[in-house]
Amino acid sequence: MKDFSIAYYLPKKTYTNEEFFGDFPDEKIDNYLKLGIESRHIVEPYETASDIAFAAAKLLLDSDRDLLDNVEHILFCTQELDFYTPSTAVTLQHRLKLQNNCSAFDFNHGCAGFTYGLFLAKSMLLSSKGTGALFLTGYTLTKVLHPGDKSSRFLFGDAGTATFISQSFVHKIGKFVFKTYGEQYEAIIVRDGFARQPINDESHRPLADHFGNITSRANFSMNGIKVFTFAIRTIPGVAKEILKINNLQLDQIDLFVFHQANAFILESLAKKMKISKDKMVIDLAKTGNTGQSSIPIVLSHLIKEDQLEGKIVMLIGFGTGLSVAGTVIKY
Amino acid sequence: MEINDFIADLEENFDNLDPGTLKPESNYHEIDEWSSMHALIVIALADTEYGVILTGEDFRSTETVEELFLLMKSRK
Repeated sequence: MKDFSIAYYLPKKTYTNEEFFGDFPDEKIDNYLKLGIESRHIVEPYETASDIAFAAAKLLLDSDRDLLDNVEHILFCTQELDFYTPSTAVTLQHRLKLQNNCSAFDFNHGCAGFTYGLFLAKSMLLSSKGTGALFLTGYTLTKVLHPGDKSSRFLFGDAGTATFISQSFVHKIGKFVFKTYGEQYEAIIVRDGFARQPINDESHRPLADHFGNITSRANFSMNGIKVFTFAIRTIPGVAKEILKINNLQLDQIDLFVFHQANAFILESLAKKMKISKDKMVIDLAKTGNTGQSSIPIVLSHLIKEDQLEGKIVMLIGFGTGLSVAGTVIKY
Repeated sequence: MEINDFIADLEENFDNLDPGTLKPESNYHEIDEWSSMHALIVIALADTEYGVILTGEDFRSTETVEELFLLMKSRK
């Protein structure tokens, strides 16, 4: 049994740049190239976040049957739950035929969700006899995108991931730094259709931003400029804090695996933080921004390519909240 | 901090602009297909090269390259 392993699942349907520029013929390709995305995967309307997380977990468990008896915690990070109650994680425990001796719960987070989950898994393993935690993510954002929201339809893709973290891996996960800027909760939001504001006559009225992106109160809405400014202003400081509490220097970090928001943000951060391009991992061309699923997808590629062995990797998730969560792993 | 350097930086970062296209009096919103990507490029440039923080509001309150440059200069 490996002490840290990851699998991911991408929905079958893709949405390529060719299709995007077919849908939006007036858009200039040059304006989008810097985002580094060529294609994304899109869930079918009947596929849920738990379905794609289940598919990823199946791939992981089938690749290593020993994991089955060692899952004593199930965490599921998603914005799309199956039911009001019970939690979706318990249905996944059943569908995956995992043992009853386990905890199971959901938590709602977006692009900072993977590092949050790693923190939770570590904390839970340290305070229980658990031998391992199965941490699942399910990102189905394309379901709530307005068809006329050009920027978001270019940026986002769906993906499910499954990460197994063993008790023996816990000491390789460093200390965490978190930031929460709740005053900016509207920067990334789906306003209507939940408890605070049920769907009403205004919910589906089209709203256009300064750049011609159309959304509505019932659809996903992101103030891209605000989020970008937030990221380049906040993350370099968070990285410094992570280094400090883990007694590390910047040059000791072999790889920086940040949430794959888009290539332009990551390149701007590399420039600002004076990180060489080969250390800042950019890997989203075929998936787009997959929210909480983006970091585990990158890590799974690095593990597959045998690029993590002996490395110190800084992980930072950032996004809706606005929130940041980061740590280091010594693989 | 000179306006000619800022203009050169903008022209270098906007892939579809030839050198010499922009003048201080140019309305930068009229750059072919001015998009949110252009705004992000300017914000990144201001932050990483000039140490100045710009917001979305700054693009609504300025029109010409010179106005944007003077706003940035005032925040240095």
